[in-house]
Amino acid sequence: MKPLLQAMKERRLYLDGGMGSMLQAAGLPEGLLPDVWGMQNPAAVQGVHRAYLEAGARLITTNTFGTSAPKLAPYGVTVDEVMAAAVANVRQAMQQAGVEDAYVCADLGPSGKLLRPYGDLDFEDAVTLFAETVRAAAKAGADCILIETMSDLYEMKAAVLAAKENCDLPILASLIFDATGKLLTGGSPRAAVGLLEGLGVDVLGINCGLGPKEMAPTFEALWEDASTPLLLQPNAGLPHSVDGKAVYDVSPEEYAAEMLPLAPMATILGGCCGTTPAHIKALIDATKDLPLPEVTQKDTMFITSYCQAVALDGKDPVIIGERINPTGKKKLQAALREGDTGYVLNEAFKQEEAGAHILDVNVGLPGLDEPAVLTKMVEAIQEVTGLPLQLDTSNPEAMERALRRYNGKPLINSVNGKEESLSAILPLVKKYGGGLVCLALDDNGIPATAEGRVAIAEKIIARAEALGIPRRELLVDGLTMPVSAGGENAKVTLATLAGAKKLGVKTALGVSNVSFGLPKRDHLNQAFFTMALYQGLDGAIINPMSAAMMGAFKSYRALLGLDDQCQEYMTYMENLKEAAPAPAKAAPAAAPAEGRAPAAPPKAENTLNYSVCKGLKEAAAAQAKELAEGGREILDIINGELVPALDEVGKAFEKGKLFLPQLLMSAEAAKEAFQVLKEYLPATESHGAPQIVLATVKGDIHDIGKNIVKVLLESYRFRVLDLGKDVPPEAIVEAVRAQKIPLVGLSALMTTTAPYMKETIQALHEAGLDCKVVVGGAVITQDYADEIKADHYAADAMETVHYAQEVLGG
Amino acid sequence: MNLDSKEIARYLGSRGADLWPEAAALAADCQRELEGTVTPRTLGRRLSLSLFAGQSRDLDHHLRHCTEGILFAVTLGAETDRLLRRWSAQSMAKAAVGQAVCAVWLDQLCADYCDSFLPTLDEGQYLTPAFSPGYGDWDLAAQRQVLDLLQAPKRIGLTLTAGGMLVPEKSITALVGLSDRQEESCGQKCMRCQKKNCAFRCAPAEAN
Repeated sequence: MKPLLQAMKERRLYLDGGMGSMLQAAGLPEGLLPDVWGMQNPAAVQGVHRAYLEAGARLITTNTFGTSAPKLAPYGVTVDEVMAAAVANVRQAMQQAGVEDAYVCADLGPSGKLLRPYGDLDFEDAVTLFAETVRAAAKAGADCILIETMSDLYEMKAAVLAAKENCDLPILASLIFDATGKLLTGGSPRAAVGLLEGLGVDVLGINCGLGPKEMAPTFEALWEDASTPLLLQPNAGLPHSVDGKAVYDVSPEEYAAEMLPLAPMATILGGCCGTTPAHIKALIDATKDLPLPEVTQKDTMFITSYCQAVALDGKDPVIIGERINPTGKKKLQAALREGDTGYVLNEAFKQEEAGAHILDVNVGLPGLDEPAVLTKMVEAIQEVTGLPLQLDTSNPEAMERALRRYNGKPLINSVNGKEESLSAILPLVKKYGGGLVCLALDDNGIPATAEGRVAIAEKIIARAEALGIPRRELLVDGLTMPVSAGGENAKVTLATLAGAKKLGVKTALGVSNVSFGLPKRDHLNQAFFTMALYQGLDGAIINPMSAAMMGAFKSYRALLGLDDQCQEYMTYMENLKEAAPAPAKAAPAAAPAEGRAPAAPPKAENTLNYSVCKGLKEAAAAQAKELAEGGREILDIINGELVPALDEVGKAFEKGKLFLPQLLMSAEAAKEAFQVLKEYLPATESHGAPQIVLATVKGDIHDIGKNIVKVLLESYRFRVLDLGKDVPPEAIVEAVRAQKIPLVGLSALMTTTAPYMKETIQALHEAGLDCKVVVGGAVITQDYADEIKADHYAADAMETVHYAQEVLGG
Repeated sequence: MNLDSKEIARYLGSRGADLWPEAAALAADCQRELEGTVTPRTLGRRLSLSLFAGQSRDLDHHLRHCTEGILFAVTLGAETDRLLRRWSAQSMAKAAVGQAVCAVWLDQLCADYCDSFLPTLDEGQYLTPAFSPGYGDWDLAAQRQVLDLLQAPKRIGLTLTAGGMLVPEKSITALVGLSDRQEESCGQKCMRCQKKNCAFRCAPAEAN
């Protein structure tokens, strides 16, 4: 028999159809695991396989949709045993049907768990889970791995990596989209193509969820973008409920007719829920004479996140925001050293708002654990934005760790022509996927001529292609050199772009280096940027907060006819007008709520006290600066303005005159002001060891309460070490011990997780640590706090502040 | 999405007062962002209540006049969790308001879903108020059975953590009974709840 990948090139192959409903008809009771039942009732499962073989299906799916160690544990059987029985059932059925040319597809379904950070299944644990099933499939003699019905691209990535790392079988990867053309976790078809082709699956496609008609737009979108053969397995229409059960009622003939327009795009066809051997037979009869689809290699590079894809098509350029890079940025350096994720996220938000399409992430600082910090920051940024990222590091270990955990297919910055770089980076790109920035330099440095740089680019391209990395995934960086250091520098870079474009690759540039050492850099940058765009720059690594650069970008797109009716240009310029510099003084006060007395008698509006009371962040920061510049003692500003304002708001909150969001707005305004004032304080007074550890306990992933407490504590200038959510007792003990922290705040939202609070307190006591523990959360009461021997119970966030003042002073 | 601002205020602990302007502005921002990104998903089926008999005295009492019910789940999806994290990183004030907005939206989706069954009821048949795992003495562990019966992980991406928590976070599962007694369907759920000191309790009319 020919290998599957060979057979696929010669004829259209047919998968089987629905399994669950046929097993139910054969006696599977509701609530039992079909794979375990199938082990005990081989004849029933073989009967289903046989019927599909007789209908003409030649890709037969094992009855292992939900097979994983945790699900099997209660039944006392192993993954190996279930998979061996399932593969044997297919082989037996083939014998019974007298079919020799069928392939056994080892079926991997979703874990049924949501991955971190939204659920509690860690990415690596997901890989481990799937790996066990994959190894069992390979051992049992399956012909390929069929990963199907995945609704989360991150989980799909874990499953594909598990398959790549644990067997050499072909990988078929199939997703479930809804009628809006999105995955349940928000991913688009294009994001799926980017990720799965980056990972190098052999077939990608769609199954379940919808009937052929409803699936058509999504399948067509895949066909537009994909350079990989496609598979299609719709349901027999949309389910409707009869006596509480889902019923599918598209008949075999209708199914075949609805599949007909889609079939020319599919290399593999089959069915999912509600389809039967009769559906598959009708499908085969209707489509068997259609020519095989011609799968072409597309030119567009897709850079993706969990949900969206940015297309680099070689014509329409994209902006890569460069601000998350500590070189020359003291505040970012400090934030990275202190693990201040909030600062980094804020940089991400600002660039996103300014119009960046992709964000560069570089955390390279001497003495910093780059592999750990890069991964942590990439995960933190991905938790709050859908923009794809560019992983920017010269440390291959940092690159691999971040690439592995990245949710999507990132840009990889970078490889160069040195052997050391090529051999370290190219295999990573092959394994994990990514658009690769190729620096035109090698052991001899940066060539002085464009020809020299293009020659290095050609060498890198050849090496990448030899490994199977397609040309569309490469961007050549022409290397911007300061024009102050040589009059030819800009011209050479521009000529390199033009040369690289002729090679059929994309291009990238860090644009602003051109003006290094010269005054009024924006002018030079803007002019050079426009020239580079016209020369074919695809990925512009710039500061998107520069109005000059974004203006040049919007203008270029309008001038080149890339901006339909100049709509984007006009919107951008309109917003620019609105964002004209705001007065430094306080914004006008919002009217007090009807029927509600303001927190205090009317007071002067242009004071720091007023801005904090009203929660006006920008005004508070501006006024703090003004006061500090005016020479007032910093501690006097804090104790005379900030603290009284906070106390006033806090009291109003406690009396029920103000509500939580107002309290938080004031706290955030005070924090903003304090950030400004910190700059004027000696480092000894503004920095120091953390005083309070905050954590949501193990098992609990609700963290809004804990975050609210954090903001309030910080507004009162307590230094907080936030360990996050789902924190095991050991981690809390370790942090308290290592940094000698006197106060611990624990939060739990669920009756099922509150016991971990008790365990944590016990662990702290057993470790003999001299710290107080304050607890809170929706299900926590004074009685419970007493029972678990907490030192204090805080019913709300302000109470935690008061207790912190009591324990720590201040 | 057209949410009751008083309800949003209630979830923010206002005890009867309407939303004040600063919070209303934040709530409007949150609603706009939710509408732009989130597809709420609902899933349910009619089933025999014998599947749940004996699990909880409170549940049995609640459904004492019913033999059949509707089991359903609603989720605002992982996209909402991401937005909530995003708001938390931008401003906790916005995150707190966003939480309340999501809670009200979920309540409304549940009510709409139950209402969608009204035309299918027989004459003289009514829906009881919804009852969820974790209410009264109905063990939270019942979530596992509920999600399995609905095939919720596969069909709407609603799953459980090891600690028994629904994720995505902004999700509800519930059971309503089909009752032949009208009185079962009225009455505010807050007034019958035993947690009298709850910060989110609806203000009784006389207290206003």
